[in-house]
Amino acid sequence: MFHAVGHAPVQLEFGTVHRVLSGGNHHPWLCQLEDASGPSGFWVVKPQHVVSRSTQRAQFGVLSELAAAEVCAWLDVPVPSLGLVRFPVDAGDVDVPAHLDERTRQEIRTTAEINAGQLAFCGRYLPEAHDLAAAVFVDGDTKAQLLDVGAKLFFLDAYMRHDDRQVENPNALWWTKRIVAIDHGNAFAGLSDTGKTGAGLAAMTVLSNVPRRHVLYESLRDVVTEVDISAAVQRLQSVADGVIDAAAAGWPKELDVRPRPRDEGLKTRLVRFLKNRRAVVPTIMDNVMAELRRQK
Amino acid sequence: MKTVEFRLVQIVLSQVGDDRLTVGIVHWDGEKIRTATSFRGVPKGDRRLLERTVKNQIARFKRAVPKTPGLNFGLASLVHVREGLGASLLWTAPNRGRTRNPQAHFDELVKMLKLESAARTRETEPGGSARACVVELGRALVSEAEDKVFVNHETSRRQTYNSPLSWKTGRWHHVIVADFSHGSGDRIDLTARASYGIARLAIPPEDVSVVVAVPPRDAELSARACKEAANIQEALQEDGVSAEVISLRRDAARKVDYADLRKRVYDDVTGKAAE
Repeated sequence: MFHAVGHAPVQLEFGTVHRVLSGGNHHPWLCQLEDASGPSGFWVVKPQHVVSRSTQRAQFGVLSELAAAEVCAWLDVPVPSLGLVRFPVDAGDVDVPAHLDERTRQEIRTTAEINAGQLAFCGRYLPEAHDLAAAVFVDGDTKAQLLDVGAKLFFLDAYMRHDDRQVENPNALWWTKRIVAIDHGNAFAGLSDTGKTGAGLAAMTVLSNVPRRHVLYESLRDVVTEVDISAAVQRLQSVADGVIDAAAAGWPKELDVRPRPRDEGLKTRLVRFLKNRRAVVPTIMDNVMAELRRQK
Repeated sequence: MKTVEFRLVQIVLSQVGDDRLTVGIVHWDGEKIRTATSFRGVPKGDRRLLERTVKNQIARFKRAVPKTPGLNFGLASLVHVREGLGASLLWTAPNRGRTRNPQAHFDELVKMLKLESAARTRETEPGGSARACVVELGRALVSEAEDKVFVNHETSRRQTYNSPLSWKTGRWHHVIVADFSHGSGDRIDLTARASYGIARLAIPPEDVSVVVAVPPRDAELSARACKEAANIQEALQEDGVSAEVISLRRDAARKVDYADLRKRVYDDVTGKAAE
C-alpha cells in the first residue's frame, strides 16, 4: 500500500470514475484504475489542471508528488503507493458517473477536457483513513507514532520546503494506527519558478512562519524533550547519488519541461535540489529543533 | 477494454442526514450479471423482509439476461428500477467504467463496499477442507495487502473456476489446490488430472496457475504425489502455460503447513521477493 524506495510509479489507465474528493483545494478523483493485467484497485487521481483552484505548477505538481514520496520513503514515512495515468485525448472517453450531481459531473467533464492527453499523478486510496488533527497524540500507539513518523515528517517538510500540511488542511492521515503523508503537490516551494536552479534553492535553510501552522507543530512541542531526529538526519545525509538517480529514472521525461529556454528543466532541477540539499541537513535540523523548542 | 455498468442498492437510514448503507450491487458486463449483498448493519426490526425484498429485486436482473449474446441496451434497460429518493430503499443511477477483467472489477467493488458475492459462500469446489484452509489464509493476507489479494475470485477461459486465493503483482496468480491428502494412488491421479484441467480450461492464458500440492498423510503415497505435482508442472510448461507448483509439507503433528504458500504470496504482494 505504501511507496518503497526506488519503486517506479505504476503505469495506469482510466477505468471507472467514482467520485470527486472535494474536501481539499485540489479536488482529485476517486477512481478504479487498470494496469496492463486488469483492475488495479482504487486510486486518488490528481489531474495537473483543476477548476477548483488556480495553480501554475502543472507538470511540476506531478514531479513534486513523485519526488516527495521518494524522500519520505528514505525515512520510512508512509506515503501511499504511486501511479501515473494519462487522460484520454478525447475527453468524452472519460465516463462521467451518472449518480453524481450535475455540478460535479460538469466539473469532471471540464477537468477531463483541460487535461486531455496529459499525465496525472495517482496515489493509492486508503479506505477509512481520516484526517490528522492536532492534539490527538496522547498515549500508546498515537504518541509513539508522533515521536517517530510525526517528528520525521515535520523535519522532512522543512527539508522539502513543503508548507501545505497545516491544521486547516492537514494532508496527513491516520490509517491503521499510523500516520500517512499525502498530497505533496506543493512541495519544493519555489523550485518551479522561472530562473530558479535546484542547487540555489537547496542552499536555502531559513524556516518561515509556516511550521507554526503545521498540523503536528503543537503536538511535537508538547513532547519536544523526547523528540530525537538525529538518526533520521544521518540517514538523509547518507542517501547516495545513485539512489536519487535511480528514483528520477522512473519519472517521465515529458515532465522535464523548461519554464524558459535557458532554464534548467524541472526534473533536472529537482534532482539537483535533492543532491545538494543533503549538505544542509544539519542546519535544517537545528532550525527545526529551535523552532520546536521556542518559548511558548 | 470492456464496458461494465453497475448499480448499488442502498438502505436510507435517515433522509434528513442522508445516511445510507449499501446492501447490494448489480454488475453487468453486457454478457453476465454479477451480484453481491450484505445486510450487516441493517436495523434488526424488518431485516428479514428487507433482505428478501432486495434479493428478489436482484434476482430479476439475473432472469433478465438476454438469451442472445450481444444484445445489450445497457443495465438501465435490462431491468427498470425506481431511481431517486422515496422510501428507504434506494437504487443508485448506473455507473459505467471500462476494464480488462469484469470479474476482478466486480471483486474490487464488492471488497470496497464490504459485500459478499454469491461465489464467496461457495467453497465446495475441488480441494475440500484444504481449499477452505487456503481461503482462510487468503483472508488473513487480505488484511496485509487488501488491494492485491482476493479470495474466491472467479476466473474464466473455456470454463469458469472459483480460485480460493488469487493475487496480483503485475500478473494475476490463481491457486489451484491439488489435495493429495485423501485416498489411494488412483485418487492422486485423478486429482492431478483435475488440477491440470483447471489450469488449461479455466485460467486465462496471460495469468499464472499456482498449483498448491497438499501432501498425503500416508508417507508411502507422498513420493507418488510429489511425482504427480512435478508432472503437472512439466506438462503445463510444455503447453506454454505459466505455472508453478508449491508442494506443501506436514509438520511434526502431521498437519499441513501452509507457511510456504503464505511466504510466497506475502513476499510477492509486499515486493519483498524483488528486493
